[in-house]
Amino acid sequence: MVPVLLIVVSVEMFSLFALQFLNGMSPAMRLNANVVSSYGQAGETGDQALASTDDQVPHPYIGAAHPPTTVRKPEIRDPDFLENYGFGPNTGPFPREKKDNEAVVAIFGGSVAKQFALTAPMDTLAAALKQLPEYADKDIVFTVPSNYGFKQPQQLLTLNYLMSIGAKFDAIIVIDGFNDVAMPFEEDYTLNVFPFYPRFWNVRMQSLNTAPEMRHIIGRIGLMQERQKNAARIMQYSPLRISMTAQLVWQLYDKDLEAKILEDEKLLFEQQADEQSGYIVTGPSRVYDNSDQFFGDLVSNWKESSLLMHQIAKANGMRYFHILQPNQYVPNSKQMGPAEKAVAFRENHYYRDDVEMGYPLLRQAGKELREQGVQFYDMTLIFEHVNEQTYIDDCCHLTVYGYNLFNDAIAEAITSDSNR
Amino acid sequence: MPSLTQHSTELSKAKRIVFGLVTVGIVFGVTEAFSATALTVLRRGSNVVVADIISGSGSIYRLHPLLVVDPTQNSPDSFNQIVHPYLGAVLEPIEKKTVQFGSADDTMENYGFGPYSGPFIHEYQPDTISVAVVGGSVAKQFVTHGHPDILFKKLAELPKYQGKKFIVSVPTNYGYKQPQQLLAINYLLSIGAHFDMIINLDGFNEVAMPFPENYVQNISPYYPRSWNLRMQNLDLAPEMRRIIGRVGFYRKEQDMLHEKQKHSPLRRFFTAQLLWEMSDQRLKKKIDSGQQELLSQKANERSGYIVTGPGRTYTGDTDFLDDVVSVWKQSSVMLNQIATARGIDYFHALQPNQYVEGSKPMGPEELAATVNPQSHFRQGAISGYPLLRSVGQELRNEGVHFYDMTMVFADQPQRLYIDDCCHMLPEGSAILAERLGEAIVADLSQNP
Repeated sequence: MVPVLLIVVSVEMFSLFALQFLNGMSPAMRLNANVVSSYGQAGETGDQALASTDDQVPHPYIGAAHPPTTVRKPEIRDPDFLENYGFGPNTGPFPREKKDNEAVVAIFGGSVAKQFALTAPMDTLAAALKQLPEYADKDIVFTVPSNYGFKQPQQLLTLNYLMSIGAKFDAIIVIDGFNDVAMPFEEDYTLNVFPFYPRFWNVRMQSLNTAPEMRHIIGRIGLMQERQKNAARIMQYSPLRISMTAQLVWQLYDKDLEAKILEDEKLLFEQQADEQSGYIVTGPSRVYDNSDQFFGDLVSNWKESSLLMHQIAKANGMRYFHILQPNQYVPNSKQMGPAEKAVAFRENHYYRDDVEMGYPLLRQAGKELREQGVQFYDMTLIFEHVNEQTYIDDCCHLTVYGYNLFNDAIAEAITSDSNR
Repeated sequence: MPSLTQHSTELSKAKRIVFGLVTVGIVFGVTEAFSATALTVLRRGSNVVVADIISGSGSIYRLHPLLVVDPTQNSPDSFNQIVHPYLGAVLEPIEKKTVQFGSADDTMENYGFGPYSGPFIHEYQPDTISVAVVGGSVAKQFVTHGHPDILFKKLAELPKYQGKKFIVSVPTNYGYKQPQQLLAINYLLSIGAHFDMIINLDGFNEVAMPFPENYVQNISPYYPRSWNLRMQNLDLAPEMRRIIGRVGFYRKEQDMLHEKQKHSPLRRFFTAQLLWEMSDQRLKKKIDSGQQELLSQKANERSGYIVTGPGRTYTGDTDFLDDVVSVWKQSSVMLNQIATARGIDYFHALQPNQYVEGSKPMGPEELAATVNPQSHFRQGAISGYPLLRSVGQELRNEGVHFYDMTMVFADQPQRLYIDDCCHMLPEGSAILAERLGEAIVADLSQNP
């Protein structure tokens, strides 16, 4: 008995000295020391951080989407809405079945397409569509699978995605062109991001939460902190806390974990630099010799995407109309008074150069699309002789009056084209 | 002069040393022999297969002379692929290179399909057939680890392909399921890819994965595999964070163990190898179980729509299966429509799978290694395949060149599957290539 006691006392004495050497303070003080967490600093991101200024969040197939304002889980046979699929409120039904008395017309594009469908009274366009024999006896229902900032191939992939999961449209109208040439250079290419990636993809991916290696490290740090806390809790409440040896073992374990946490935190910050500029953000590499080549590739993507949409539409018995939207930076496309010019035309806007470079190519490609059988309408000059204000901002968006005129122009083009 | 007693004592000491050395030698030998035997047993049934894919034809774009199947790739792995805006997830290129627009050096790897996924062809060339093979991991391995040359040799018998060189690319990734194949083809065409032929080898992922990996976790069944893990907000999901951390921790330990193994002077000894192997297997088990746990983590309600995607609920299994199979069918129809409109040949094959009743006679070894009654894929495959097969017939009636390969191994008793998911040994892949080639040739001879 005596030898055992002697051994215990010796080990405890050794542990006491070792503890003092380790801590430079009394073991009791160390026991109450708080385990400092650094996780909160590393991972403070989430849906809100991922949502950029346009409130969209990453989507696996269409780049970005709006979380619905109300979460609904419709039964497979219940009425369903496009809001459920990420296109925001009031975007119309998700049409599962074709109805004899109804023609569902889907309007694709970016913000102008969306505002066009949600702002302007659609009666004129609906009336024009009803002149087509296949829609003559049907109610026209508009549905808007578009989001702000969308550019090709997003319209194309949205159509494919929705149709693959059961959407059935009767007609497709694409209103686009501006985003396709005005955004990719400044917002993607100069930042080393693939020009055909969605707008703000780089911003959405600048999150610690989405980078795989970072998640890995963050998780590991979290696990080790968890272990640290558990060990500290055990020591606080266990009768072993009076044992110097137990305290020594615990402290060695704690210090080992702390060293590993520090090592991982260092790794995390190194990783941050790597991943934020890595492939997850930039996408594929494609470099161009000059701006002609760059804009040529942009327009070829726009044209090819339209052709693919046309081919899908044709194969499924749907009408396909492709509209090139007007834009104020196209030279001589709009007579502007001082008031309109003040709000809607910024001399040094980076969109301006890109529109001036891109629109002539879009218009030419549009002619080729028509030759290839696409019902394409170039609306670049619809405001050429309009003196009233039609533009509302220095990007591309229209006033209600502008949208009404745009609506009339599309209706007229469809009608006269059909009569031809 | 030493005395007799002294001499005999020295002798016995020498004897003792010799005896001791012999004993140590015997113990060492026996231990090594035991370790060697134990190692053989432990390593039997391992998923690591060195696939010889040296081409005989020389007419096919060869992907790599020798590849090793990484068994971890078959698991529900959220670690290797990264988020992609249109395809759900892709592989980051190993070597980041700058690619000039329109360059002949452009590869599918640049677009996220991993190494050896072939070239990104920009333009039609009269003497070549640009082939895209799409699907999931089985489609990928069909090209990278199998014998695709057998298929293309067979196809070369058709007059339209005679004298042409097949350039094969594999714009697909492990775990892909429709609509990912459809979106990948549309995306690549929109950014300038040129294809003359699309071969879609799929079916299993589409019915086996959506229910256990998505729907029961509140995730849209059509969202990509592991999307929830990639998008889950770690701050709001402490349990998920812990599991990810645990898996990462064990992976790091495993990496360190492998490093030690490579450089230690003990690496020649079976006993050391045995101990390492045991540690490795212990870690692998922990990693596997962590990954299973990850899959069972429900999407955190607070993480919301970014993780779950659109809500769509079903009244029963039949409704659910009808819907997933209808997405598979519709995606194939649309691929066919795009292909037809562009003069691309589209061939759709339903892949075989071991969980389909009567689809393969199996010996005890193959049965033990490749049919897992607990696999969460099993039920989806059993219930889904009859529907896929019947819908496949509808696809044929609607003009798609569809080939049901479910029973391609029904008369093949030798081991052809590699794991308890769906993957095949190169021998299995060769048989599939042969039969698919025969089916396409017969079909096109009758219905060009």
